[in-house]
Amino acid sequence: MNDLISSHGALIAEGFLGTMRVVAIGFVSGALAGAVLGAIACGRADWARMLVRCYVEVIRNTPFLVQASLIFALFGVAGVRVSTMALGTAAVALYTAAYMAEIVRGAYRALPAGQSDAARALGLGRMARLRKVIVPQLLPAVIPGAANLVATVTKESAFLAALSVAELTFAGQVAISQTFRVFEIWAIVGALYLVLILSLLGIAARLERGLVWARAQQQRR
Amino acid sequence: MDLATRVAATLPLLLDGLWTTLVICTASMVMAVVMAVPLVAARRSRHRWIAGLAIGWVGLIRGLPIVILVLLMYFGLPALLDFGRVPAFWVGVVALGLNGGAFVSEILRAAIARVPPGQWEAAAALGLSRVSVWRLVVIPQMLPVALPALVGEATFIVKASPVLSLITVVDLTRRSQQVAMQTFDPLAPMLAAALLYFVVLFALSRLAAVLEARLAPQGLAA
Repeated sequence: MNDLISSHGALIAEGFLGTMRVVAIGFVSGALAGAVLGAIACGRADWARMLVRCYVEVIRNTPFLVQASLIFALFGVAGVRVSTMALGTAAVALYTAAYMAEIVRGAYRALPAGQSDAARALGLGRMARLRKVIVPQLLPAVIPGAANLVATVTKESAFLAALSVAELTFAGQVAISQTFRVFEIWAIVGALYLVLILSLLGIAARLERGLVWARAQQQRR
Repeated sequence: MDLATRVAATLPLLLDGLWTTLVICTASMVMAVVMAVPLVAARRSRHRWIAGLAIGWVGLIRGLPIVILVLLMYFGLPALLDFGRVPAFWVGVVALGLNGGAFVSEILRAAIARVPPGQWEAAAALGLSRVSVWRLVVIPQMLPVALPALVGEATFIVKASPVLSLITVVDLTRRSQQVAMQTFDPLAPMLAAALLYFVVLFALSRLAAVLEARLAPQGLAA
């Protein structure tokens, strides 16, 4: 075990950082895009709502590996040369955007309709309504949902090894091809994922509890 | 040939892969339910350490990507225990079943929790045996709550099933990769596979939505 860590520890650590990078960049850009898509899905433009609906349904009803393979194939056919890391990140972003849009839409639909009407009756403008009334009430539902989504995305990102993206699972495969220490390496890789994902889920659970508590305090006042 | 024609032309070549995917997912779903029952029982156990084991197991599964679980079971365990090849199909079914079982146990637990305590007390007051309480009172009331979520879990299993393509099982994903190699067309076979996955998953998620709408109002008032 010690010899393995001294010989291939750096490779695995680099893979771990690769997973963190794919997930961090892919998730943040995807979540921002998803927030915009979610806003469109709550909006009044029918055609735009339909487009977002179609996008969300397509992503939610196909496996991540198939989506990522399609992105790789599209770029291959177009003859555009982009790093596998960039393509993997794009796949994560596209996936995140659809699920994020659903989270935002679900949170918005759970708001009492009176909130928007009351804000309008107070004479608040469109932006002020969003910024002061709607968004602050969406956050308690959106933030824990987003934290759970990061954990899901981290798990899905392991599929990217099949497309040679330099992330943790891929690093494990490389290390095994050099050492043939199959069980030990998958156990180490698995333990690293476990720590990362359970931390994310723990944060999500804390946020959920914390925000529920904060909301109860607000109502009491 | 334009893309749409090529996709249509590859669809028939993928049907055996689709069939394998459906068989795997059905077997995995059955295995998930079978594995969930002892997990639920363990969670309800009076012995804290048994309940703790079940909680730990569910946490382990929730924190491990299915890809790693499958690679560990297909490559890692045989290497550790020094037995030769294991059938990839069954490793896949067991891995998807183990994974699904943890989530199904949470679904069943939540559904049992929704049965009002008065129902248990009333059943006990009527002198029903333990088996009758479950058969006549609890299970009929928890099923409407659990069923839509179980169909939802089936969609997760289908979405995770391409993991078997990583361990040589010729499922829908791997079949489309093979066709892509044979036809030198990387795009159309994968698009066709995506289309087939979409049809299956969209049907399942509609079914879950319909079940939820139909079953929820007549279910429990609580």
